Amino acid sequence: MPRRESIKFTIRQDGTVIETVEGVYGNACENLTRNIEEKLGEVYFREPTADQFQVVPIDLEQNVAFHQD
Amino acid sequence: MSHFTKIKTSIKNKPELVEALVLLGYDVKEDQQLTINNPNHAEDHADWYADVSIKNDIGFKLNKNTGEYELVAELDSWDLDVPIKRFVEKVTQQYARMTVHNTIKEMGFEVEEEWEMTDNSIELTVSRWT
Repeated sequence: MPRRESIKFTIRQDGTVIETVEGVYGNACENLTRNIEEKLGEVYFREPTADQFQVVPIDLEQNVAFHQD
Repeated sequence: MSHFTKIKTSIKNKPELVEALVLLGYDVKEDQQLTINNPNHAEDHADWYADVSIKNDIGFKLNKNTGEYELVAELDSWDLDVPIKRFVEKVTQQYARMTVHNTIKEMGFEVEEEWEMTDNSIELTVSRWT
């Protein structure tokens, strides 16, 4: 199933960039943004959020069959 | 969400620096010899050169030791409508914006939203389907 990856950037008036990644799981996340971070400058704060520890996406939909005797 | 990162921007690439200055409405020239207005400074700055300039006495020069572009300007004759510190901030902010735009395009992302906020920050949301 296709998955949406998104990055939100807040570029403050002094040029500091705050980056939040959504929908990318585990280490793939850091690999994704390393390119941007290297081009911009120096990372001085990084905090993992919940998905960082999740290895695969959880399937939120389940098919349940109901049998009546 | 997967991670939250703060990055201090430094100006390291000339094309994005030029784009940032153009976005701010300046007339950009490359590889210019700058003019010394104050005769007392003439000897100290006999070779006053800028990789990217917006006036004949204001520009940016690459510091080869740090790999970063630094402002070169004569403080006595500074006549832009913003103070020096604010000018550098504005250029750095637009530089960061262009760097993000150019990099995310290479990575297959598209811009979903871009807003200039009341606190002068820029909010940019990009996404792609995998």
